[in-house]
Order: sequence, then C-alpha cells, then structure tokens
Amino acid sequence: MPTEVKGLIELKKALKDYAPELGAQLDDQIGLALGGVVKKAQSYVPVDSPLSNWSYRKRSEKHGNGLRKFPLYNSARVVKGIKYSTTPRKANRRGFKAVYFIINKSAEGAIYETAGRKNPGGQPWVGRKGDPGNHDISHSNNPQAGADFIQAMGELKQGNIESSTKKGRYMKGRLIYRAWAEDQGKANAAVFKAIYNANEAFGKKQYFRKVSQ
Amino acid sequence: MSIVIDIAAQFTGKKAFNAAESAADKLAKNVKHALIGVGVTAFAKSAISAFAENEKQLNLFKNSLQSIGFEFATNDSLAFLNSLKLQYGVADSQLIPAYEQLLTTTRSLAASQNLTNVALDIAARQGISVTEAADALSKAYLGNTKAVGALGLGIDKATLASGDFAAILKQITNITKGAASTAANTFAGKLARLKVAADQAKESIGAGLVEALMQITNSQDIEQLQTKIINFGESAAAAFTKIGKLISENIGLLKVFGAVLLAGFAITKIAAFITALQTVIKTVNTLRNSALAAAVAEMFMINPLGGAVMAAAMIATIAGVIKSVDILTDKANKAKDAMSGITTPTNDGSDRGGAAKYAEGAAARAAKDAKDAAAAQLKATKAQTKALQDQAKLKKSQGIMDVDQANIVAALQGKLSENEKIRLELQLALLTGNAKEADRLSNALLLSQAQTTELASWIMKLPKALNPFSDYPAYVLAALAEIDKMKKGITDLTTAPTSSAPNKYDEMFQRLTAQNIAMGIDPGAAAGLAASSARLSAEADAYFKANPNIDPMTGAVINVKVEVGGQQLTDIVTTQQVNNSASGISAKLNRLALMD
Repeated sequence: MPTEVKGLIELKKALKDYAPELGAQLDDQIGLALGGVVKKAQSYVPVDSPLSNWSYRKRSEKHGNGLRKFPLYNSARVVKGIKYSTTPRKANRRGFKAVYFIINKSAEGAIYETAGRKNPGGQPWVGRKGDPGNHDISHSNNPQAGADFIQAMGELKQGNIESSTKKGRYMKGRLIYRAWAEDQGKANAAVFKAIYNANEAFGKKQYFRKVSQ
Repeated sequence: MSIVIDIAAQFTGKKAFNAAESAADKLAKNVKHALIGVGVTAFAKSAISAFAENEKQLNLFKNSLQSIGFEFATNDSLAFLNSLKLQYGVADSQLIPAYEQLLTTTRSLAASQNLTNVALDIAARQGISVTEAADALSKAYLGNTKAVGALGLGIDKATLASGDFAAILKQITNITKGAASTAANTFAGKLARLKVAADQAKESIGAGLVEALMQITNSQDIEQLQTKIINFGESAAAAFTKIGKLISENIGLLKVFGAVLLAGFAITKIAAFITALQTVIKTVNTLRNSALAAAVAEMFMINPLGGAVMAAAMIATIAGVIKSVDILTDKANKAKDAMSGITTPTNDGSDRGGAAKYAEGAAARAAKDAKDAAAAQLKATKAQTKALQDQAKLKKSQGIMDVDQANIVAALQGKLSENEKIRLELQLALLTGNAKEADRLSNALLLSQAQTTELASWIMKLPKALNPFSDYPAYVLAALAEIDKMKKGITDLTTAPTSSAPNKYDEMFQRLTAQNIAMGIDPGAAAGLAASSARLSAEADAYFKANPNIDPMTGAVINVKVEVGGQQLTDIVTTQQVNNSASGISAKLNRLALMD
C-alpha cells in the first residue's frame, strides 16, 4: 500500500534539525488528515464483545508451554490500539520503512479486523484430535465454532485496493480498513499534500543549525 | 500481530546489505592476518600437491588406455568420469582405477561406462569403495562370480552358479538401481560432492600456481618446486611481515581484495573464492601501477634467499599475481569451469554479499560447461552406438547371404533375376563394407525371398477350379442337348450305313425269292430271278443317285435350279401366312414336333 516518497526520512530529519516548527506543522497536518480516519475506525469498535463468551471466560495469560492464549475481547483496548503514527517504523522485509501509517495494534482488535479474511466459513474443523501446533485448523468441539464466530463479527468490508500492491482479501477489514475505504482517499491526498508543502517551504528558505564545537 | 495501513514510506535498502557491508569492512581489517597466516601458504602447497598427484594419475590412466588400444577414447572417458565424479562425489582416486579395470576387462566403452555406473550403485548401497565394486564386477564378467556373491547383494545362488553375467548384472541392477543418486543427495553425499569440486578446483589452482611458479623460480619440475616451497620456512616469515605492513598501509586499496580472499579461505566458500580470484586479479591490476607493487617488487629483490620461494605463496595473493596475472586468469577460469554446477548457491531469499553474487554467476557458467560436457559425452556415446549398430547390420547381412546359390541359379538360367541381382549387389556391399547399402539390400533380399515364397505358397493354396457352366440354367442345358441331337442327325445323314444294318437289296432278294417259290418256280431259278432283279434295282439306284437331274420315272432330264436364302424363305413363309390369314385360314404350327 505505501506510496514511496524518496527522501522523506531525510526531509523529516532536516525539518527536525533545521526547521522544527515546520516539522511540527507537518505532523499537525498529518494528524489532522489521519485523525479523522482513526476516529471513524474507533467508532466501529463494538462496545460489547461480538460473542459473549469472548470477553466472559477467564483465562490465564499464557499456556503451559508459554504460548499466549487467545486474547479476550476488550473494547477499550481495541480503541486505544487504533492510532496513527508519524514516527518511522522499522524497515520491512522488502526494505521499505513506513513513515506515516495507521495501526490497529491490539491483538483482539486485529482479530476483529481480519477474522474471516482467509476462511469466510471458519477454519477447517478437525476437533481435539488435530495437531495442537497447527493453527490453520479448528480445534473446537463445535464444528460450527469458526463459522459462528465470524458471523458474529459482522460483515468484512472491502478496503481500497486501488493504490495498493495488496489485492483482494488482504485489504478487507472491519475497523481501519473499513474507515480507510470509506474515506475514499481524502486522507491519503492530504498527507502527500502536506509533505509536498513542507518540502517546498523547506526548499525556499535557508535554514541553519547551530552546532556545538 | 498488529494491522497496519502504510501511507508514506521510503525504501531504505535491506538490512542484510548494510550488514554485509560492515562485515566486509571487518574482513578487510583482518586482511593482514589472513595474508600473514599460514592459510595462504598451506593452501598453495596443498593445491600444488593435488595438481601433481592428479597429473600423475591422469598420465597413468592415459598409458593404460593406450596399452589396450583405447587411446582415442581418453578425452571421452575423462569427460565421462568427470561428470560422474561431480555427480556422485566420488574421488578420481577411486573412479579412475575402477573404470580402467572395467575397460580393460570388457574392452568396450559402452559396457565399461555402464558397469561403472553399476559399480557406483553397488558401492553406495553396500558402503564399499567403487574400486572394490568394480573389481567384483570385472571378475564376474570373466566368469568368477565369487566376489559378486560376497558383496551380499542377495543374488540367488542359481544365477551365480550359472555364471551368466547378463543375468547376474540384471539382478544387481534391480537391487542397487538408484542407490548412488540417493546417496549423492544426502547431506553426506552433498558434502562429498562439494569436496570433490573443491579438490578439483584446488587442482586447477595448483596447475596455475605451478606454471607461474615455475616461470618465476626457474624450476624444472614439480618435485623441485615442492622442495623449494617446503624449504621456504621461517625465512619467508619476515618477508611476510614486511609485506603485511605494506598492505596495512594500503588497506583501503585492498579492501575488496581482502574481503574476497577471506570469503575463500576463512569462510571456506570455495566457489566464491574461485570467482573472487577474478576480483583479485582486477585489484592486482590496479596495484600494478601503485607504489605498493613497486615495494613488493623491491622486497623480492632484497630477499635473495626466499624471494623466489616467497612468490610461491604470494602468487596466490599479490606479488605472484602481478607477475603471472595472465596465467592465473586463465587458470582461474579453468578452476571456475571445474565447479560444474555442483556448488550452485542456494537462492533462499536471504541477502547475499558481493562474493556470493560472483559465486552465483560462476556456478551458472559452470553449469553451462557441465551441460556442454554432458552433450559431448552423449554425442560420443551415440557415435559408438551407431558403430555397433553398423556392425550388427553387417553381421545380419552376412547371415542371409548365399553367394553360391546366387551363382548357381545365375548359371542355370543364363540371366540374372531380380533376386539374384540383389544378392550380388549385397555381396558387393559386404565386400566394400558399405553397411548402410548392405542393410538396404539385405532387407530387399529378405523381402524378395519372402515374396517368392509367399507367391508359391499362395499358388499351392489355390482351390480346385470350378465348372464354369455348372451354374447354367436347365433350359440352356436342354438347348445344348438339342444341338447335340441335331449334330448327330447330320452326322447320320452324311455317314454311310454300317454293314450291320439290313441291306434293302438283300431284303428285296429274299422277298422276291420267296414270292417266286410261292409261284411254283424252282427255288434255284427263283433265287436267280430274285438276284437279277435286286442287282438291277441296285444299279438303277446308283445311276439315279449319280444323275439326280434325270427323272427316274420318265428318264427325262430335269434342270431345276432353286435358290432360296434364309431371308427369302422367311419372307415367303411370312407372305404365305399373311395370305392365309387374309383368307381366313389359320396357321398350324406344331411346336411340340419341333421340340423332338
């Protein structure tokens, strides 16, 4: 999805070093553009668990083998995990470093966002006899558990894939992808307009930094 | 896992690239230690020894082939063995003696190559050396099956006792087929293949070093050169230290050089090292014009004792390459070719440094060369197969040839039939050794013979001829019977009556005699009168028969000439019938009478 902006990181560094007020202004404009999408995404977070038992049953934090258990639903944590960032992330495997992005950080938020992308009818059911290490099958006693869970999540909205390298199901979601699609590219345009303006403003003026000897 | 929508990003390059760059820097910093350490000299000595050993073995092999009359197949055999060596990871020291023994035993390139493959399978399956397996096969080929039985392959005793090598080989093949390939694809097998490739590369490098060192040290043979290298000892250590100091002062210039050397020696990536030699040469070309090259040359001049021998070690690094850069380039290419695709780097998606990229290119070229070698091998095998086929055709043609018969038949008939012509042409083709023509003619002769035989057989098998009139209708047969009757009637008319039939004159004589006696005439007189009457009657008949135009009643001559043709008679009859019809007289036809 990301649009590559060559020199963006250098621009941010330059703004930080030579024109901090311009940098702050850029971040404000980015925040304004992405904040609306974030707010809308947060508004889609169900207050109550889509499935009553998802937040009801008490669970220990970890399995006996140290693996994390299926996370309980907590709407507050989901809302809190949806945010935008203007701080560059680590480069991904292909060498791209995201500078501006919207993130759905919580585990339960990610589950609610993407449940049913790969298997709209739930994972293939095997039951208790299945390999415990296999996460691509349903281990539930109820063969319909996966389908019921996904059905309770609600419709999986198709995100905007026009400007994405990812196609199809990878752009489907219920929170940030839904909000991003409904924004119809306005936030995206605003971000790049802000970057362009900052770059133009920075180029027109000579900035000097006082360095210590 | 968090879900992210990236909006603006920048390509910063892969982490591994940066890591590789920093690693190269570190390696470059250690170049001095690598050069001064024993790795270079040890490798040089090892490479030269390997080359000498290999050279010796090859010469022995060539002599062996020459002694059994297979000198012409030396290159093909070496190509075949080279492909096997790299494919299965078996060293020359095992493969060449095995092949040599099999070829000596069978005196057939095809058989020996086939049996070498079988020996490889046996060796892989039973965990024995290829030489042992080949020895057992050779003995079995000559009729001694004890060694094959002792291999423990599970060949049944009856087959072994029969001594039928084809049957034994079939069982062995069934039991061991694919064992060598399977073993070669195991981890140990892959290591063995890498070792073989590395050894071969080392031999090639050794060849280059030997040539270069011989030029520098004026050595006459490898043994002399080895002695100089071994005696190099501590006298070179001081020189190395000084060289190392010079290098450390030029560390920036040697940065790439150091990285590729360490990739070859420290990391033991032989493929990368072989390819990296090209980079070394390029670097040295740069050094050629530098102050360092001049300093190195000066070192050689200053150190009279170890100067020449020091080159033996340094030639793999700097000084020797400067003096023998062209030779080493050539030999490095040969060494690279020798990799034969065995050391193809894995493309697992991980980041790779420059040396690995060079190695990848080298592996691709080596794979191409291996492919060419395999094609050449295939071509040689095809040529050999064609020769065998020609021999088989000639044999087959000779088998069906019968010159004596052709000559005999030709002499009897006074001229050549098509079959005999083919025989004689076939004889000529056999005498001239024209296998293709002989094969064609033999086929034609066989066809001719088959056709002749087939025709005779066909004629013999013909059914008895049928009566063509058997199916005629009955009325036709009846008509034919009538025709026969008519013919008989005509014959009767034209044939004189037989003597057996009663004569009318005799009857007349008897009747008149009786009448005369009845009238009271004396029997004697009665018979005389009757005889006279009968005689006169006979004479009269004869006269009238001779003169048909004389009326017997009046004695007048009648000249009547009636000429009625078929059509005229028909017209007359038709006219008469029409007249009768007009007069109310019906025509009466007696058809039944006509049928009689």
